[in-house]
Amino acid sequence: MDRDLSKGENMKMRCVKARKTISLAMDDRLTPAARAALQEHLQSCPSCREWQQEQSWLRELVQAPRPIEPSPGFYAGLMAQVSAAPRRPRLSAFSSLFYRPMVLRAAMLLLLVFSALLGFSLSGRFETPTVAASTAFNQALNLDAFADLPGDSFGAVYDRLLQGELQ
Amino acid sequence: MIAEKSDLELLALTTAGDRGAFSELVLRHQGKVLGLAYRFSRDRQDAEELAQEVFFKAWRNAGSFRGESAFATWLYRLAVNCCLNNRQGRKVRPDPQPLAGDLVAGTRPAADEMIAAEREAQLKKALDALPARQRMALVLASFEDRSYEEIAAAMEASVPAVESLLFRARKNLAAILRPLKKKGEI
Repeated sequence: MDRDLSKGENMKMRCVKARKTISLAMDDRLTPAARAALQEHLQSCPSCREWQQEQSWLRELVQAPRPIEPSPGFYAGLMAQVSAAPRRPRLSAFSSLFYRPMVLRAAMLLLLVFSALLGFSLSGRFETPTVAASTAFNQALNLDAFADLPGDSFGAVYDRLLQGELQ
Repeated sequence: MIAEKSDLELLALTTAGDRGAFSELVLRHQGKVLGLAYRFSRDRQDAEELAQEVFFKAWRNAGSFRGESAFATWLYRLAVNCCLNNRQGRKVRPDPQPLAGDLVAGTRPAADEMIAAEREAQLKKALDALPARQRMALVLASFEDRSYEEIAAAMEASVPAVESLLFRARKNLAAILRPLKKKGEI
């Protein structure tokens, strides 16, 4: 993406922007128009000219090192590491599917939607329990056992306490 | 013949535990990986350790390669990440190997060699002072001749972020080396 600085801002171009543009110019990232705009700024700004010269000096100074060949021990050292380390178990195609973030997100969303739907469908069933359902519930928990107890027995008193008849 | 197989075929064999296939992959790509590590670290021993780490990770994670890019691209990205991550916890050796010998081996008198070695030591120190991502962007743009788009892909950044990293790298490097230049030490 080349930068075009020619939109009437040549004279207004501030030094920070000019120096960023010099950096782009060093990597041939400017359009001819942007390059011309930069040149125009440089002609009127000694400070930026000096900065550009300094960058040219740096480019000459910091050269890429000459390529090297691996030392004799390089390959042997690598293979020793490979031999010593246990291999990471390879994932099957199915299980590796679940290590993909998008698949995980979709699975979480589906689970959420399913839970919400299940919650809605079940909430209707327990909203207004019928008499038959209450009786079945009491029988299941053996709560009717209290009904036959003598009135002053501990069980009957406890039952009335549970029902809120006693404070 | 294993040498005639493609990178992807070799990778499939590597994933199955074939060390011969892995060795062929190492031979094919060690130049680029070692070159990047060397240009980044400017130290032979560090570079070899980094390159070994890259290939070791490739061996261990061969099964996770999804084939969304070429193997060479995947490996290059792995190398960039290893350089960046390794930089954080790297121990500074008291006597790093001078680079000047590699730059100008046998072409200069001893006094010039010493001056070159001293200058290289100053340069390495200045580059070491840069944040790892700035340094990597500079290495990729200036020494590896990568386009901004390629650098952005390798560093998992946007193109404007690469522009910014390069500008800051150049600005910081100038600020570090300017006083040395004024003193005539470089």
